[in-house]
Order: sequence, then C-alpha cells, then structure tokens
Amino acid sequence: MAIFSIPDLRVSGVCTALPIQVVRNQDLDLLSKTQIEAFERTVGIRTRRIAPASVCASDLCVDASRFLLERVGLRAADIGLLVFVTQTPDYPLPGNSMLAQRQLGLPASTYLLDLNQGCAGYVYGLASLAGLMSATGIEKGLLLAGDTLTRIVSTHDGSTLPIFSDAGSATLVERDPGSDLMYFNLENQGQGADVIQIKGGGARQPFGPESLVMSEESDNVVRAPIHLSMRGIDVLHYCAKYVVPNIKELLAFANVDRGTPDYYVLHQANRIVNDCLVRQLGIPGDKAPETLSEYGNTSCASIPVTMCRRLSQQLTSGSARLLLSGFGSGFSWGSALISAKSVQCPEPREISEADGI
Amino acid sequence: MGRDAIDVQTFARNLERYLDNPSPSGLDIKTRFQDLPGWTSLQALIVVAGFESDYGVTVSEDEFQRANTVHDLYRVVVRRMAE
Repeated sequence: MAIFSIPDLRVSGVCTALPIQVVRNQDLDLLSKTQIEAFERTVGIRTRRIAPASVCASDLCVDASRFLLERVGLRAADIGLLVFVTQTPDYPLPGNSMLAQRQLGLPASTYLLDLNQGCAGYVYGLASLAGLMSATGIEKGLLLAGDTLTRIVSTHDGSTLPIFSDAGSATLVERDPGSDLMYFNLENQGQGADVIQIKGGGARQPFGPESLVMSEESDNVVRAPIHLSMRGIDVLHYCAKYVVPNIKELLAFANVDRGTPDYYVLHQANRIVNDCLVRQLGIPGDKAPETLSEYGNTSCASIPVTMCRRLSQQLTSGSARLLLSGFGSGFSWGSALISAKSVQCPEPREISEADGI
Repeated sequence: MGRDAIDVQTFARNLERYLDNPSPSGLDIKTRFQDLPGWTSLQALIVVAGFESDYGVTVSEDEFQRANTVHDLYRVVVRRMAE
C-alpha cells in the first residue's frame, strides 16, 4: 500500500506561471450559445489561459522556478534534485527535466527525474520528490509541474476544448529537522487507462498520416488519434468512487479528522466533479478554494495555481494544514497532508513571449 | 437520499430535474432519453452527477451508453445501489 509519511521536510515555496492570453469560452464557435451557458453553469469554466506557440511546459515551469529561487534567496547550485511532472513535454525526448536543468543552470550533479502523470501529478511529484530526498539526504529539491494541454486537444472537440488550460509551477522542498510529517496516499487503477488517453503518436501507433485523420465520435466531438480523448462520465465515475475514500484513509492514517485540514486544495477538474467531492467529504465549500472558473483545468499545475491564487496571503504570512488531492489520467489519484508555514507563495505570474522566454 | 429502495416512477421524476428540455408530458419509463431534444454529452454528465447526489452511486460510460430507456437506466442504478 502506498500510504506513508516522510519526516524532516517542509514545503518552503510555491510559484506559478500562467500565459497572459485569456480566452473566453463564450467566444468559442464550437458550441451554441445555449450550450455554452449550460457548460458555464454546470462545468463552471468561463475563461482559460493559452500559451503562445513558442511557450511550452518547460518555459512556464522554469519561469516559475526562477521567480521562486529569487524569492527564497537560493542559487541554482543549491538544488540537488529536480522532478518534472508533465504529459506535454517539449519533445518526445529528452525529458523536460533535462531542459529545465539547462535553462536554470543546475549543476551536472543534480538528480533529475521525469514523471508522466496528469491531474494527479502534483501529489505524485511531491511524494516522489520527498521520498527521494528522504532516501538520499539531498537538502533542497524542486518539483516542476506543468502542462500545455491546449496544444493537444482538438479544436473541434466540445468535450475537451472548453475545459483545458495551460500553466506551470515550481515548488521548493527543503530539509527541516523536526518539522511536521508529510503524509501521502497514492493509488491507481490501470483498468481505466483509456478513460483519458492519446492513442496515436506513441510506439504502439507510431505517428503517420492516419494520426491526423479526424473522425466524428459524437455531436461536437471531432478529433484525430493524436488528440486527447476523455470519457467524461467515466472520469466522474472513478472520482466519485475512489477519491474521497483515499482522502479519508489518509486522514485516518495521520490520526486526524476531516476538520483538521484548514483547506482541501483539490485538483480543479470541473465543477460537477469537484462539487461531488465536496459533498461527499461533508466540508464547507469555502474550505475547498477554487480557480476553475478563472483558469480552467490546468492539469498537474491546478493545485499549486489554486494555492497561489487563493491562499497566497495565508500561506506566506501564516500557517495552515493543507489536504491536497489530485486525480486524473491513469486512472491515478492521490492525496497529501502537509503543514504549510511561512511558505513563499506569491500570486501567479502572468507571462508572455515578451518576458524573454 | 441514501440507498433506500426507489421505484421507477420516482426515479423518472428525479431524472427530469436534471434535463434542460424534458418532454412536456414528463418522462415515461419507455422514454429514449438520448433522443430528447438538446441531448448532449454534457447533459449525460449532469444526469450521472445527479445519480451520485440522489442515490450515492454513479455508472460507467459503457453502462450509460447501453441504456436506451429511462427504465434501462433505472435498472443500472438499482444494480449499483445493491452492490
């Protein structure tokens, strides 16, 4: 069972970067006015962020990293470990951790790791980073989590286009003897591998002319094998079945009750899923901050984006127990319980090509 | 509502609450809900979320797509509730 705790580490900083370009779902030609109204009312996403063509996940995460290192007064040479979580890497290879090392100027001795994880990726990445730091004795580690999902959805797919958005994040974890334990509970269900999937372009269906052939899956859903596909009902089905039991199990493992976390920072999937989870948890809505309506679903970056957008002041100048919960492609889901005290957690940065990326 | 037994007529009335355009005479157990005007994949998602809210269960996409009528859907939900 992947339920465990890790001592003597703390999250000391979280920074996020979002493309400055805002798109409004109401401006999409894909859906009718009535459909968009229903979508905004139920799915809850009004605006999203889209990265310009020259900006990839590495750029967004590196920008957030530079800002973070500056805020906490560290140099690149101080970082001993970097974990990069993304499902939209800049290239099929090498991994984004290599690109981030080059852009940040990290030393050759840095431990680099790439994780292919989606919306559960922030929790998986944090658990992996903390576990490796605990095993190796490395003092300072960076978790970079970001995606440009708008690059891989079909512009003719009404089931994905109005949902996904681009963002990057950087989280600093430092050794801090005697600090509160970090708790994790990670789970997967490989039977759900095709719930959220890109079928074409990998080794099983190598890229070729057929990768680009568009087909109509249903009304307003037209896509090619290289595009992201998502079975929305199955996503809800898996989330409703597995996510809250995972959280409750973690709280019991940590010997605390559901009132202990000051905030439940949930992955921002869509309002239907998130409302369902809040209802199942039986917590007040204001304990689960949201950024969905403003930023859409930013995949593995949505948890840090929500921390920076909604909890910036509390985390920077105060302290809080945070329950983090991610869930998505895999099908994977996981939760973490961490103590956040005097965490450098500024409002999200907005960046454009003019910022020198 | 928990997992108390439900009858199919109550199920149909509950289902109407989640539809934008239910038929004027209300849903019949033989209604082919996916043929209703304005039916979309989003509408399907809203209905399944309604099951979770009303009965504490959800259904898979395959189960939902195989259900043609309100009564078919009722049987899927009742089966889930019994698990």
